[in-house]
Amino acid sequence: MKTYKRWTIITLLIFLGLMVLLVLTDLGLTVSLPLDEAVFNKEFEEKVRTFLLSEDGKAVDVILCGDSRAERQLIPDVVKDRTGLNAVNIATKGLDLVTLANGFKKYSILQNTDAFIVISTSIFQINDGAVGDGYTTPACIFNLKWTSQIKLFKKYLPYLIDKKMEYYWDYFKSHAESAKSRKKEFLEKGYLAITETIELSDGQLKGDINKITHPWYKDFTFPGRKWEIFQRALRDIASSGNPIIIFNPPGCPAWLELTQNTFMDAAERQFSAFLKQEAQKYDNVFFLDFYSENRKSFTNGMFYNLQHLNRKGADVFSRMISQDISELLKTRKNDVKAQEVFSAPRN
Amino acid sequence: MRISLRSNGFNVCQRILESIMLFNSYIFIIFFLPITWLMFFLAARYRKVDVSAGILVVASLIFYSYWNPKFVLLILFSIAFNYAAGRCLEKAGGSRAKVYLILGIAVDLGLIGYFKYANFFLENISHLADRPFQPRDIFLPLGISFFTFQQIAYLLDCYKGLTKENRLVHYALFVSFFPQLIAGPIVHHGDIIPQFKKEHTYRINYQNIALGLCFFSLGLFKKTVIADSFSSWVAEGFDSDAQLTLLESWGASLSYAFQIYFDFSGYSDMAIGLGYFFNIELPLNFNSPYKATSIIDFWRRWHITLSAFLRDYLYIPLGGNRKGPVRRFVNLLVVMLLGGLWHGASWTFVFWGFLHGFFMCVNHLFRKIFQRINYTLPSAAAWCLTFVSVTFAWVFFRAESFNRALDICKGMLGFNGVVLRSDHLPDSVAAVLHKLNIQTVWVGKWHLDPPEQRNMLIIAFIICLFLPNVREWSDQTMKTRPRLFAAVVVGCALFTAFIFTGRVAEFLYYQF
Repeated sequence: MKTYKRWTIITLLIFLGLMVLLVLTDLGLTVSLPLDEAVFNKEFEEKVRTFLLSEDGKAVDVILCGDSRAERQLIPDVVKDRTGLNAVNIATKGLDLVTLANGFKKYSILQNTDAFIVISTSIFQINDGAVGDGYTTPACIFNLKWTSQIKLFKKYLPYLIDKKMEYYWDYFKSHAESAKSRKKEFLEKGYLAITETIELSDGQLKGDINKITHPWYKDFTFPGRKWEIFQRALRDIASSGNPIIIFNPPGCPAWLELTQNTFMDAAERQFSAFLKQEAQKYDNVFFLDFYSENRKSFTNGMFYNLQHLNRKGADVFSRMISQDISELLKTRKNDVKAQEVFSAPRN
Repeated sequence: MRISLRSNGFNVCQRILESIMLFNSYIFIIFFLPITWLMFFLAARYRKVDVSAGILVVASLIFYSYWNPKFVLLILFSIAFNYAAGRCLEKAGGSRAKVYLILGIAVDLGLIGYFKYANFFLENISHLADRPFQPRDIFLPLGISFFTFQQIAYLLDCYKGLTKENRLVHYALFVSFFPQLIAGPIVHHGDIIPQFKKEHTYRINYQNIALGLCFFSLGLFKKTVIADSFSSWVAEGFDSDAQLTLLESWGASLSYAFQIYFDFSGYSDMAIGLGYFFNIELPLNFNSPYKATSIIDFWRRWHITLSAFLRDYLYIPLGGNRKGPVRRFVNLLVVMLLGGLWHGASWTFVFWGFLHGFFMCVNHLFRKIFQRINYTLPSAAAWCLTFVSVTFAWVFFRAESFNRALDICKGMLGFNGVVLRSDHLPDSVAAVLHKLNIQTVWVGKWHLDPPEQRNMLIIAFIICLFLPNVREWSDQTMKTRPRLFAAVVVGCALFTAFIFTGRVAEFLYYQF
């Protein structure tokens, strides 16, 4: 029996020893590497290289960026037609503000341009409960304190460990590969067109609202740690002095109707209110709330799913954004306070 | 201002998964298991053996109620009803016993029929009557298929007079013992209840703890590190509408074959390990099934406890092989069809059962023919034939619909074309393939991710075919004298599994 007792203790000690080693390695890497400034998004970096670091990049007047709600909703060619400004779309699915800020810093984008920066935001970026894959970026995790990481992922700690190991690996791999220049072909200056239309008859919008699954609103907690990081990232980007438009995109009317008076609607409005307040802290940051306003401009037929416009909708939306950019240009020329222009009712 | 908004019932499916206390969840490993173990042996130390058993029953019910407290009432009812029916059967004789037996089984089948099959039957009736079907909001209680089967077997044995008088606490523990409650192994009362009656079950046994740690850690490793690695490739292959080409279809189907094996056998190993922690030896459920060289052999190695149940309580009562070859084949088909239906209320499961029944009939037939002509199929060919048949059958088990399953099968047979990755091929080879009308594409267009998937498939093949299973390995390394090498392997496996735990958190067999 003693042999088995000793064997059990040795096995558990090996397990615990490895756990301690892992924690120490994690702490060591976090302290010794500039992980909080890393980008961890290949596609975004490829877009930056392709559109902003090339020769053509010097002529870019409008940088459309953010997450999928800019990637699939803002058409550079429409912006060009309406404003005469050269626009590119470097937005990438799941990209949050802190990754964007890190990307700008890494490639010194904002030091070398006075382009308009148009940034989409989505509620998953600031919801502490949305910690699933694609809803909390590596850059966000490494900007969180160790204690905050544990707090956010308290229900999913092994997932956090697993993910962090993956990110460390990605970090070292991307450094090893950094010498290779990656340039990729992107159609329509980075805009990702989706032409389908949402199927409202397939049951996803029928029935009990409480049974509708949406990971963005999972365990909604706001403002929290992700919001602090969001604020910090906005401060970083705003410090460049470039004119910045930040927007909460429109939602599909069917979804808005269904979520009316639910916590999801309240959360979105709360998010918009906080964004507005945050934008007012800076002279060069302007917030546009498409979630609450201009609802009549978008029909169900303009969406391909609950949160994303299809090409038809993107065309309308890009025109609206172009109009805002034009307004902003006017304020610059006429020395009118931009905040006043944007707070006035729009067409 | 700080707001934390939650909505009742929001994200229901997600929460159901989160609310099951899985063996690979923190709450189970860090809190539930150590606390239950301590309380069980502490009570036993003060010579309160019945209290120990009671603690284990309560802990098992807490384990079950963690998912949905409402259904504790169902399992309590099921335990109380079957125990009472069993006692009546033991006391009664003749036709009265038969009435009790029919009543008992009818109630058990009624419960499982309502919760598991009501929507399925209503849907089919509506379909036949050409009427629209609105599924009823019926929630499938976890593990109902497992605890119902165990209790039906108990009632049948009570009727045959094969049971000894059992105390309620031991019976309740036999049904609700948490390691096997939700996804088996299907335990036989004759194997389990006597263990609860033994004094030494309630004394700490370090050999069993060591064995338990070995089984649990390696089972957790199989589940979280190997099985879960396949889940995204399986989902990508089966859940999309994309027409999969030859390699993609095989990639998806082989991935599922390994996912379900490592998932379910990992779960079974964990259950056996947990049993050992409490000095209860649970039956082996898997014995390297992918080493099988015939379908008959496969079913002796795969889900052994279910096969044993179907054999003892269905196949043999139907007449088994005693009534001639034709009747034997009919019996085999009926048993396997019902086995398929047991796995889920869908025609794809039934068809999976039919396929296995059919394969078994063919297997028996050819075995007889080969015996007559004195021929033995080379074991490599026999293995290959068995493995391919099983893999084809898994397609129907996993696919959401017949159409999707047929589509994947078509792909596996090459009807959807052959596409190879051009980045892995020298230009000259690609040119030759092009002439042969075999398409080559760049990585980006692939639905699956072959390099990682291929590596995992190779690893899984090696583990399944060339390595001993956990039982064999523990016999080699732990039985006489536990080796340091085993401690290193188990410690590392536990560590790796612990890290991987958060990736996907659901055992495939929970849904059956």
